[in-house]
Amino acid sequence: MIDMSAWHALTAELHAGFLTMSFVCIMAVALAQIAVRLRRWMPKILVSWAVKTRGYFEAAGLVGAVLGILGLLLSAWTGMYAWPYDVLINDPIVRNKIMLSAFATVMWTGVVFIRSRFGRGLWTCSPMAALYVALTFVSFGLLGTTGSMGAHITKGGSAMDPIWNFVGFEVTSDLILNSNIAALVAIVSMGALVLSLFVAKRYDLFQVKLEAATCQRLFKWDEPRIEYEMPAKK
Amino acid sequence: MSLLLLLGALTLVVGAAPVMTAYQGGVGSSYNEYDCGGSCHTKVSTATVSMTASNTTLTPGASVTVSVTVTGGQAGSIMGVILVTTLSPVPESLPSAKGWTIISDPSNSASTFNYHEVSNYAGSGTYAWTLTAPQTNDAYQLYARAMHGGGGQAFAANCEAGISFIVGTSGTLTGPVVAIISPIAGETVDGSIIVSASIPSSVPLAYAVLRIDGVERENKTATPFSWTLNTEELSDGEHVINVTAVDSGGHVGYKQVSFTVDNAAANTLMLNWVWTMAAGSIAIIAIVSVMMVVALLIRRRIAGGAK
Repeated sequence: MIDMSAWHALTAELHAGFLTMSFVCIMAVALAQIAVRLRRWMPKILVSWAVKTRGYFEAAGLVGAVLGILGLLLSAWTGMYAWPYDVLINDPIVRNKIMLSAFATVMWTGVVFIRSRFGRGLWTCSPMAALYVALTFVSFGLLGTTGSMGAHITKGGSAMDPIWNFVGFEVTSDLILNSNIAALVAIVSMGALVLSLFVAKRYDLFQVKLEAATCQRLFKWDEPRIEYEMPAKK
Repeated sequence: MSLLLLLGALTLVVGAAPVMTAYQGGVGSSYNEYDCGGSCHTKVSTATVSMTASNTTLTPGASVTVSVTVTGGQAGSIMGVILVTTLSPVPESLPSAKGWTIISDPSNSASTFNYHEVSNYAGSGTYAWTLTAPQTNDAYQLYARAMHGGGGQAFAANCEAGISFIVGTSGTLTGPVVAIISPIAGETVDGSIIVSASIPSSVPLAYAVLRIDGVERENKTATPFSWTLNTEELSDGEHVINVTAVDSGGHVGYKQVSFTVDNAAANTLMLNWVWTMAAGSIAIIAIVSVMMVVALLIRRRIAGGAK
């Protein structure tokens, strides 16, 4: 019988690997988009490489995020058995790690949602592309933080400690709000959520389809499709 | 007629026998071992037996009053209470076997018995013995057992915790030296904890007993001498852990530490943790939703109203 902590280590590697791949791919697409957009000033070989690869990176980013979220859920499940309740309650790092892992899961789900809802067309809309890239960046940062906490739990330290020391973040201190403040945050958040849904309904945003033709006045981004042909110079 | 008288007498004897024979069918005596003797009380009584002592750290030969309180059980019947040095059915459980001398027993007479019996138990009672401590420096233990009849059965209840006494100073004790490693004295704990004791001894140990607030939890005969304790079984507040070790020579050593249970704070912490996790998750969803709407509104403005 394999110890549950071994399964937890395995699933943790799984989600960390997939989500890192997703992060790298999405960042690569962002860079490729910039290279293609600024192709007049970029080396031709770089633009050619960006055009040929960005479509694959783009798809791999989505696949990595989906598999990474599944890995996160698996890690949560195996972690429940690897870490008994009493250890959990007595160790602030474990509590922090679980909480930030939950936040990371929600954020990565947001990444997948945006990509699934708007498709490759999101790259043609610079505000949405910026949100997509920023959300991926923050989600990956959160994942790295949970990984650092995991290293503290298993090894007593992490390679990210110099960063934590620099920003003054103490991983061993509880990141817990008073329940009244947490309830207030939840109520305000739900209010913001309802308001955003109302505004979306009001401006008919649920029907929006992002594509090159609808979002091109300021930045002329094109879709990162899987293609081999160099787009014509405009 | 004689047959009727005989039957009547037999009925009286059979019907009254369980009530009359509380322990060896006797009265107070000073020779009653823990073992059942003439009348085995094998049924577990609903009575509870507790013990207190006027002092538990004694000098050799010092007098001490040990009170045994019995509550519950069969009111109106005979109740016998015995003071012994062990709750094992072995010989030499008499206090005198370990060097104790009974000066007075609960009868308030000149008798110095280790067994006291009341003929009409009221449902609760406290019975006090005054003893002088053994002359040998060591750790000692006294236990009490209550016995009564009822419904044709013979019942008994023990004070499993007993009372520990230290006679002399700890440095001169001949028993094993016990050190409680965790929890440390005065520590505040919650949830499940490991009670760990170190009992180095040149003589093989017979067993080590964990007691919480005087109540025996578990008896271990081999290392490691560690026990898992779920503090949620205890009330919040201060409690006492006692680990008593007995070596193969019968010498006793013990150590006790006080600790504080605070599960309420731990539960509040967990509640806040769950609240924070839920609120944070909702906040992230809300922020992403708001930013998506903002991004789409900016795009609407950039695109000049195109859908």
